[in-house]
Amino acid sequence: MPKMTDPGRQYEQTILLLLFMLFLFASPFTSWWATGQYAWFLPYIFWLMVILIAAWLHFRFRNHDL
Amino acid sequence: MLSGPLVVVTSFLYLGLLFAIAYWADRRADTGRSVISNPTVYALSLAVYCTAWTYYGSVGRAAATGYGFLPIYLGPTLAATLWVFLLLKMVRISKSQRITSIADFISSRYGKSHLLGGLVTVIAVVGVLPYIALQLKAISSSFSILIHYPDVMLPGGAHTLPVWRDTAFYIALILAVFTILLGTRHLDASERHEGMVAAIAFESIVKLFALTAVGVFITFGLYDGFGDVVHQALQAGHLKTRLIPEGGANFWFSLSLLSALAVLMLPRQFQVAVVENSGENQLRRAIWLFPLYLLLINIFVLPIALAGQLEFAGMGVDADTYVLTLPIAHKQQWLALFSYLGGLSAATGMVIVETIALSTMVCNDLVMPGLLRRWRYRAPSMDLSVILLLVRRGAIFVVLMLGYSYFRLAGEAYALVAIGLISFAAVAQFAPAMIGGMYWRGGTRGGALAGLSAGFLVWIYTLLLPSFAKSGWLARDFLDLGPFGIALLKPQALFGLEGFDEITHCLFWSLTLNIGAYLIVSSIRAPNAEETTQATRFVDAMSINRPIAEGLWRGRAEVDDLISLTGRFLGEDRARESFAEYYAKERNIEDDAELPADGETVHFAETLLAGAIGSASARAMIASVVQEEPLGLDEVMDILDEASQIRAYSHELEQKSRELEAATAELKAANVKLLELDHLKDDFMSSVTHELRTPLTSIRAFSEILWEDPKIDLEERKRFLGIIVSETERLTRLVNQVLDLAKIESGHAVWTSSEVDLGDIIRQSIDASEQLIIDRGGRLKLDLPDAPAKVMADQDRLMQVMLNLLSNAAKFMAKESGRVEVHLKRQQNMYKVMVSDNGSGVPVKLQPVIFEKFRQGVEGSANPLGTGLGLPISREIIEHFGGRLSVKSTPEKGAIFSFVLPCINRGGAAPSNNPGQEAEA
Repeated sequence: MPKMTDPGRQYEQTILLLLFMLFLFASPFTSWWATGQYAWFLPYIFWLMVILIAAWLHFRFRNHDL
Repeated sequence: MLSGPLVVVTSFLYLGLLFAIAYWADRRADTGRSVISNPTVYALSLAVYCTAWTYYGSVGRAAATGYGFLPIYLGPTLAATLWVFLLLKMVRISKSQRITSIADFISSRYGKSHLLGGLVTVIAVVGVLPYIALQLKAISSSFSILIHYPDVMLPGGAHTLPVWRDTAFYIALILAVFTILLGTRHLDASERHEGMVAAIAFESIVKLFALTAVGVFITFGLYDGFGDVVHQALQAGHLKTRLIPEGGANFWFSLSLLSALAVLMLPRQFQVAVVENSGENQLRRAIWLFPLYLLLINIFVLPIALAGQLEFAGMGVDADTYVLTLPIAHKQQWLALFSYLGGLSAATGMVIVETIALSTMVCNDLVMPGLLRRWRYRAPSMDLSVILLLVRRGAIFVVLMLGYSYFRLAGEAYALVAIGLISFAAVAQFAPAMIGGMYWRGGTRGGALAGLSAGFLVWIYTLLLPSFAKSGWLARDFLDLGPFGIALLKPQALFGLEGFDEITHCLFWSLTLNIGAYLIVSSIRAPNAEETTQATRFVDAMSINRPIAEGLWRGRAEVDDLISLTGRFLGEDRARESFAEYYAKERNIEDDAELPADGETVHFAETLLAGAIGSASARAMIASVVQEEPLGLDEVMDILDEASQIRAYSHELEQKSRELEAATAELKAANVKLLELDHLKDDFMSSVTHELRTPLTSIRAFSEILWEDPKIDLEERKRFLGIIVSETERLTRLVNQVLDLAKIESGHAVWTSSEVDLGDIIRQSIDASEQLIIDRGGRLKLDLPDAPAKVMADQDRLMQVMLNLLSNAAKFMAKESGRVEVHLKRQQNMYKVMVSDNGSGVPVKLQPVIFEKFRQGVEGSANPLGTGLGLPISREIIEHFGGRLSVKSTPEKGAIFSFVLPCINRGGAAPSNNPGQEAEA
């Protein structure tokens, strides 16, 4: 098992974040939240969520060489 | 009151402020205190992505399509997540090869091809001109609107005015002068512009604050917050559908993809993200801070759009101007001026960086190759750095004038967002050659040329020509019926592909043909020696620590010639300084006379020159002063294989070294453990001999008294014999415990496992120990459940554990008012027994080792209170039956020793927590 701090782990989590973003903004799920029935700021909440996860990954792996 | 002169003066003051910031940043960089090395400044400079298109155009798009503006910012957010792979590699390649533009990047990858660099430059210039035109249009329109304050008056068609009366013409001229001052005051070997980046970062702050200020005024000044704007918009009826993305999933997806590609492929984005990057760690913060900036600048877009729709319903006010016209309509002159400055900063930022990036490409990849070809054999002795600066300044001027010409001719045909998307689609054509070149060794110059040409031609046919048709330059029939009436060739329904918007349609055909041509043509011919070398430098960029130059160059060269050549482009002093730094740092040589004219030195000179004139021209110039013997493909492959093997071997050595370090650490830890055990053994010997000697001494003393004095009276004799018996028992106990532990540890102990009731065992133990506690002045509290607590264990062994814990508690409880408590309760499928006392507790540092052999619960006790074997034996017994023995203690507040054992489940009810039996002793 690779250690939690392995660069490979960082890549894995980055890809997971990308897939999560594709799910939010480029999948049938997008059509669901964009129907106008929900709060207008919902996409902004999703967007902020993605940014917070990216920031969390940044702080988690900040001591690594890029 | 706002007036034309005031707006003009404010605009010039703002540009002056930008210049002052740039000057200050340059001065700081000269003293080694770079401003732009700060990761936040880097992330802000990336926000040059947000141009007037964002500032004015997003609101226009939101008014028309609701969320339709979002993919243009979600795309870059999506791309940013991949920067840790992609942008990092681009930065590393560019730094090692001194690449100064996107044209140079692609040209360098495919064997430093002039033709390829030129083609990329042409695509970039043609593709980005509409975008520059858009910025000129935005500045000119916003200026015209503002000077009519307090009336909301939209500008008429500028193209009907003569050029000398057109504001946009003077704006283009002023921006050209300003860009020349900011970007080409001197020629830098690495083409980095500290001052420009600092000014751009400042502009990013200005445009964010300005748009936010307008948004706050509208949302909270004119309405009661976001909810109120949306509510009123919904009540207006026709706005209900505005929150739904237009064009469905295809358009949404293609716009996101287009923006994700553009955020790195646009020349200005490549300039700030790659060329101006001053440290790889800057990327980390940019990965989240840049998307956060995009989120913040877009928060008020929808409310402003909805408010504009409500405010100007039926008045014919262009939605692209709402950011400016809403404050004007509400007589907010200073807010309107601030909003204008925000738009000005968004537009000028884009124009400055884009024209600097394009001028570098035009100079290095279009003009200089021609000039150098003419001078190759009779190069003038003059300082060519002056020529370079003049060419770049000329290129800036020409690019801006071309942008203005596009604005005059076609800029009025489209809304802002439509113009921007044309540019995005053009630069997206770089993606296959760029990304493919970074990850695929098989890509060739021919493949890249074919792919780029195909993509570019399709872009012209499906997007640019239709834009001309919509502007009236071409017959509308070309668009509606296809050329010569051939429906299959209709530009926006090519080969019958209908039902898509024009951007998705163009993106599909251009990228399909681009990628297809790139792959097919690359597969036809194997890469040549130069392409193979460059492919290795690009594809293996993350694993190469030093440039692979040694062996890849063979020939004769003179160091003086190399210095002299670079000096003609960079200036004599700067060239000598660069060489001095190189041979001191990289080659450990003190004097340039000792510098060998080998492959590494030639490569260094070439990359140094590439920073000034591009990699293809640098290659040509170096070839003019050295006598190179060309290498065959086989020789190059051999050298690269060897380099690859050396890297693999080095990697293997590093791996072995890491393994050795780990093994050494393990051995060290084992050694420490052994030393500790040795120390414990000594302690044990000392403890055992002490324990043995004390009773033996008293046995011997009392035996001698009895032996020497047979007439001693009976009572005294009985007392002495009692002591002798008691001391003998103590000796026996010690010896038994040592033997017992040895048996358990060696696995020779005999265990009898049966169903036993923990409650019974506790009661029997209490009966045996109660008197001891009372004798020492203590009290005993017992808390047992009513139901039997059945476990599988050895009754005698459990008794041994309980007696040990109780005797320890009796020993260590408080001298006065001592108290010992015993609790038994069920925790899920385990029974837990706790024995607590109110003594001095176990010192914190002893708690982790209290269950080790011969440890005493009291620090530094000269007279141990036990053998130090009771707890280790107890732990072995409990663990044998699947349980766990542990301690919790707060110094001076007593200790709680507890153990858990798995209970037998036969459907019996769990013991209640009601104390069924409670005894006070």
